[in-house]
Amino acid sequence: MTDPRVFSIGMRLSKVRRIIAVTGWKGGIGKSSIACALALALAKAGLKTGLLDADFTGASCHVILGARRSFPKEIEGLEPPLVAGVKFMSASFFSGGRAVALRGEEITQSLLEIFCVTQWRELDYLIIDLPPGISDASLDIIRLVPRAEMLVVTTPSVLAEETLRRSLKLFRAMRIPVAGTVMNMADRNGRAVGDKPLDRVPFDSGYEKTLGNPRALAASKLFKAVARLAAKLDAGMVRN
Amino acid sequence: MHEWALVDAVASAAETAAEQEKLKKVDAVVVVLGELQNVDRAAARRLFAELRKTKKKALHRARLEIRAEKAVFRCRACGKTFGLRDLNKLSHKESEAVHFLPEMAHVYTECPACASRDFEIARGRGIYVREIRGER
Ligand SMILES: Nc1ncnc2c1ncn2[C@@H]1O[C@H](COP(=O)(O)OP(=O)(O)OP(=O)(O)O)[C@@H](O)[C@H]1O
Ligand SMILES: [Mg+2]
Ligand SMILES: [Zn+2]
Repeated sequence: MTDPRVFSIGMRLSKVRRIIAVTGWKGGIGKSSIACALALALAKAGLKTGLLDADFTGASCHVILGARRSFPKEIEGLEPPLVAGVKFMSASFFSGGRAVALRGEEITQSLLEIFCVTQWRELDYLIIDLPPGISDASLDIIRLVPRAEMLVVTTPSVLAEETLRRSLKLFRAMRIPVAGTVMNMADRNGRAVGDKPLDRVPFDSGYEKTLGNPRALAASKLFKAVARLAAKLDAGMVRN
Repeated sequence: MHEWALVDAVASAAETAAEQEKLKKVDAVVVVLGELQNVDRAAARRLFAELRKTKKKALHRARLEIRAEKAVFRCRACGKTFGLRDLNKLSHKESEAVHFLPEMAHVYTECPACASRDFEIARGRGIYVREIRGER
């Protein structure tokens, strides 16, 4: 018995130049916010960009981008709709606003299915928003898409920094490429962390009001910081 | 069509298997279609006839044999085993969603005995390759 889907992932991603997976081992530290802003910033810089929300049980990107009205087209699989210039794919298209209760194996199945049927075609960047921690979806991305580079989000807290250190150590041991680390909700004194500190993203009291409106998001303080980070990423300053 | 990507994956899997098994000519690719994903058989056959041409020569005359598999769910909370027919009827939109992503069954249905969403799709989820026959 062979699962045919694993044979198609390479083909589906063959025209994607770089894949960045936004990770972080704490919940609620801004992974999804940064993933969305990053995708938006890269698209605004004229780069062909895709965004995959790989957090099936806690999907957020569709809310941040206000993608409630779009739906993939059926062309040789599923063609992700363009949302604010970004090719966007999420299980939220199929769950109709309901709770998605899935176990590990079911998350793996869902991820395989989405990779098999999604036609990203030619992209400069595919951004993947991961759920918190190093579990099902993250391990599957590492297994199925080994060239995905981790962009590790942290916050100015001893708790976040401790998990950050552990995560970087594991990534190094597993030879997983790391694009860099980002300190989110950083105050002025927030130190840079990790061996490849990319940038700091300040706490933005106006960010909440931009949710669901990519235009407002693009004018936010959070976005400006992430756009700087996107430029650094794209300049290859932190490439492995 | 969404089936295109699945059948293309089957053809690629068959191509790789033929290479590994050193088959000069593949006669048949036997796939199992799970009831839950509800892939159209005729469409799958048509697509395979097209897509095999885009793969290595060994595959160019291969036939797609389709076996159907009924969906079987097993509740993790109470142990009940049930099938698609035992579920509350899905709307068109809901069955479309399950067609695209079978795990969405967990979103739109529940165990008929205890209403839990924590059930396992034991059989009949999606498409897989059971056998590849050919000549060395
Ligand atoms: N730089 C920031 N300034 C202000 N608020 C922020 C900032 N970054 C994130 N937030 C807020 O923090 C909360 C968590 O953000 P987000 O959902 O992006 O985190 P996450 O790490 O993806 O969460 P999860 O672990 O659940 O996936 C949200 O309410 C968001 O609006
Ligand atoms: Mg998130
Ligand atoms: Zn039950």
